[in-house]
Amino acid sequence: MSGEVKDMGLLKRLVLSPWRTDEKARMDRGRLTLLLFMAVLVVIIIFSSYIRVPIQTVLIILAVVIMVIGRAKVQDLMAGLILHPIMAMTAGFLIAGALGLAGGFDVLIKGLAWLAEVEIVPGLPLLGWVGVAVILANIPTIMPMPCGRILAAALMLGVFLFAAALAAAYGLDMESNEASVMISALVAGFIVNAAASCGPSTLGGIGGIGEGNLGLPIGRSARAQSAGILIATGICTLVIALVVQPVGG
Amino acid sequence: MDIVTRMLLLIIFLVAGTLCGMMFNIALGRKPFERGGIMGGIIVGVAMFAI
Repeated sequence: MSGEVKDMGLLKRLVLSPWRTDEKARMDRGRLTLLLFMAVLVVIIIFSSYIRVPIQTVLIILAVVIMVIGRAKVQDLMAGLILHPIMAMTAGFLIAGALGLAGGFDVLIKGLAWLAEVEIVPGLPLLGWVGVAVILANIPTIMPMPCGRILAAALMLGVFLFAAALAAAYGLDMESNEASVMISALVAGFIVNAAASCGPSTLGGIGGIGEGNLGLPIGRSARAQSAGILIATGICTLVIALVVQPVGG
Repeated sequence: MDIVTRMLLLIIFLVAGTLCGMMFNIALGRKPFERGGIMGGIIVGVAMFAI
């Protein structure tokens, strides 16, 4: 077999590499996939004015072709870290889209509004709208995912809608500066909380990476980080509300 | 983790939650010590401690 491979031309070796089993086949498959990837990118750049296919579609098709040539399985790709952040964000956006289409956000707002009006005794609400806002903004760190983008992307619209409902509950006009500041403050607090939430996650994420590099057991710093994020969320909300003025304000 | 450390940790979370709730109260136009924000912060603190 190796004698036959030596006699082949370079082009034939590369083209036949997906079906070869000799010791040099893996390297040739690597060359073929790299060439294919670069060629597609060059074609897209050169003919960008004429090609109207979205780049995502091209890249997904290319990824499938490379997987077939390289004999890679989906599990092989998912097990590595390379695809993790973008997959996390994609998963979050897909969940957000699915929730939006299925009416999940409407149910979420109704549920949160009900929670805000739960009373200990008649006329004395337990949490009120602000208490529910505190819980909602801190959900990403209460349930830390390996990437903050998962919950950030999935719940961002829900937080925005809740903030608008909060402003309406306080009788503010949606066009007013007060309502804009209130919405900005709550959404910014949620963003900070979500962005930091992969720190305390014991499922992986930046906290796990740091602990691994320090040789600490996974989760050693999780609670310390959670307490810090809890305070930071409040500080961010306060700073946005006091310092940042809405556009045009 | 021994019981004293756990208690200290719980206190830290309760203080952090209370601070967070107070800041939310101010940011969202309420009085600093209004019950809603403080209760929300305490619930969040206990949840983070427990989980």
